[in-house]
Amino acid sequence: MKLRKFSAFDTVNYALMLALIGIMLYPLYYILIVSVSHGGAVARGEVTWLPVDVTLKAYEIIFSDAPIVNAYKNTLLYTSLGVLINLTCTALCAYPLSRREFVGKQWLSLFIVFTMFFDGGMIPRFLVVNSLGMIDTVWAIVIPPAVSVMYMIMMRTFFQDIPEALHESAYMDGANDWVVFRKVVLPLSAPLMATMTLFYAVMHWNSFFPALIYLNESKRYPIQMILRNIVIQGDLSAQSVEMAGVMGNMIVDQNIKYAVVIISILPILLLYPFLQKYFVKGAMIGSVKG
Amino acid sequence: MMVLKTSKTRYALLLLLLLSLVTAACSGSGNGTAPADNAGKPEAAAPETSGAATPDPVEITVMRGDAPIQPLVKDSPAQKEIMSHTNVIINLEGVPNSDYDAKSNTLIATNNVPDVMHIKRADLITHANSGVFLNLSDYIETYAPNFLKWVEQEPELDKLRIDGDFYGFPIVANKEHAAFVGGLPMIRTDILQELNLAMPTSFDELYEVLKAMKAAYPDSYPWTMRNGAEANLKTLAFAFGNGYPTYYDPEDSQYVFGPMKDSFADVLTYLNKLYKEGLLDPNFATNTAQQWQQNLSSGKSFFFFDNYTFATNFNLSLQEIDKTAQFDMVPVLTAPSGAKRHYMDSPNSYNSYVVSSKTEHPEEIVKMFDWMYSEEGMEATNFGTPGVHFTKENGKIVISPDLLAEFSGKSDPYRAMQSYTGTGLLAFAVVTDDTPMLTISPPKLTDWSDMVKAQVSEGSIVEKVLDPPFTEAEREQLKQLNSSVNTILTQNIDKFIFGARPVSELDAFRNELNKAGAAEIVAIYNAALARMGS
Repeated sequence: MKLRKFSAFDTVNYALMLALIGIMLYPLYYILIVSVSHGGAVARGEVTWLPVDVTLKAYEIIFSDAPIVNAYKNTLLYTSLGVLINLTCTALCAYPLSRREFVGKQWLSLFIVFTMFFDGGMIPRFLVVNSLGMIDTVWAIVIPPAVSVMYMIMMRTFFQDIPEALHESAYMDGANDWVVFRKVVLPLSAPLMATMTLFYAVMHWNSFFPALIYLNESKRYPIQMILRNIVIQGDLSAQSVEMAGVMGNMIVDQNIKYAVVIISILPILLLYPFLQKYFVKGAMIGSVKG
Repeated sequence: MMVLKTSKTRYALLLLLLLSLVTAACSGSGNGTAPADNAGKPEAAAPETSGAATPDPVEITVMRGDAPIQPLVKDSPAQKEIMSHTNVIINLEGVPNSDYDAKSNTLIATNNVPDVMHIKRADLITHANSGVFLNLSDYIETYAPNFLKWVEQEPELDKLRIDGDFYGFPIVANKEHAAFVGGLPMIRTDILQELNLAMPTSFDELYEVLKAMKAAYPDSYPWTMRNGAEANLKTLAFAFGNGYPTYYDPEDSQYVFGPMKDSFADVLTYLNKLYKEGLLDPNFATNTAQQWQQNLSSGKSFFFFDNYTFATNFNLSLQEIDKTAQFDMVPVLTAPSGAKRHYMDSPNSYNSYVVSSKTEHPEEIVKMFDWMYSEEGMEATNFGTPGVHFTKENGKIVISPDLLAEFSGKSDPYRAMQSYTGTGLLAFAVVTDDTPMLTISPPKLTDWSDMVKAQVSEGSIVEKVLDPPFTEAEREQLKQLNSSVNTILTQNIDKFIFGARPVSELDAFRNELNKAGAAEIVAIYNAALARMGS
């Protein structure tokens, strides 16, 4: 086997791509090294390429902080419960709509797709959630985003591509729709489900606004809300000179801020490699046929 | 055909199943978390059955921002004190400060505000007429003698009236024990000593000092700024005998548009001179707060004219690399025009706690606030439980040494202690007292605060005043005028300092500003001020 020649073009190409990767990764890397550096060195701006006076003090402070640990648990709950509800509802909505013989599916699809373009907005949504009595419960977080129309359409497209012959043979063997869905369609949809899990999990993991609006008790707050509060409110620039009587040491140390960023992105970052093999396949769903 | 038909019904069933699943999930909330449900709708709390005669405690929900540096704690000692004196149980809801406005605006828009809610002064003015907040004036007359004493004592509070009425309980400071904070000049005194320089007393001397510093440290930019020149001009222009942009001039006893004053040329010329000679950070226009902090804590810059309390942080990180390094306060500098005055922020926060118009306990809430304005209430909401967390010796507050020891190991002992006792500006209090802060914080901070206090009583440091209350039409007009005037200011101020536009063009610049409505802005301010006096 002959090795392909490494041309001048390749050299330039690789160099450019490596530079691009560097640009992409550096901010992440910077957050990591600041989070493990000594606070004083960070304040003096001495941390650029390597951590200075490595210390895990920031992480110690975070993990000894009860609200943060609790918020972390909440986020795990909202994400797992939310994804479960998302997958169930989305699949149960997509499957009937993927069947050709389903009466009125055009109309139903129209109604559903309508919501992609027209939205009641925050205030009406709040009023609905409020009148359903879901304020300050976990349901306010997981029920309103139960079905994402876009993902539902992706699922529908995927289900449509499953050969009709499989359905027919299953019916022939006496299966009903429920059995066909569970025993034939779902097992064939592993890449789809993995992709959807990732999409939905990322959505839940990063979401803070519904929690802000619908939750009142701080013991129910997800980690993103705490993170935002630390990163944004703890920011020096937010400290106006006009803040009466409030002293300058209101700033949250930069390394604590960045340590919270790291612990809040780490789990979702770790999810990617495991779903990677399905992901490429799954993300292509719907790209060929509408 | 037959197969097709039956499967149709089946799919219909499937869809039904989907719907039932969703509804099942919803109804689940009713059983699982019923008590929490109630907490979400405070206004629907159990009605008081037996009226005023019963001593049953009243439970109310109080919502305020939660600062990451001082997390809110439920059932803190301060809240228990409030409960034992006013028979009101407080359910404190903390909303992250970062997004407090989004939450409070949603609650106001949907008329779902909790019994009591913290609100910024500007928002109070905007929403006062919406009917969501209770008009407190009648209640105050009857139930709040302590609060009325404060109104008498602090005339500025009258500016918080909207159409003559109070819609919120403003947060005020016990000035006797308040830290006096403001944007004031701070300099590296160790460098002054090293170069044998005297502490500057005027802006001209400051220029010489910065020049000498630059000569000794050619890589440095002695003066650094954050948040752009305009933010700095607010304090700096006042020190030069004018102001920026519309401000109340204590000498003229009226509102003035700063750039119209003759001495405005002085401040621009001065900054331009510093910039040209490399004495001012060339990135002054774009520096973020973080870059500014780095410059000052790494020894790249030696002077700043900003919130002086940051200096304690700079000193800490500077002293890690240089034991002698020390930022210290410069006494009020005399301007070329002869003006000798600096600004300080009012120790009063002037943000307010508003009461929902839907609350079932307006009288109890007003009485509770009134107690919080009393001396006893002020002490409980700032120091904790009397006898446990603090004692009073000859009228002087002494924070319990045990309490101090308990938190001395924390990275920020003052905030950790306040968080635990549930006290101070960042917890639930309407009168703030900085005794705990002045007890714990680095001694330098107390020295600087005392220095400011001395200069305030001398008259050279002036407290910023509140804007007079505007009518809705005026607010609308000001919004438009300000946006066109501010655009011109923003486009030109940096140019003047960079030297891209010579200061000699200031007259042309003033004409542009007047055309955009600068004079009208001042007229509106003064009209509103005059209305107050009458």
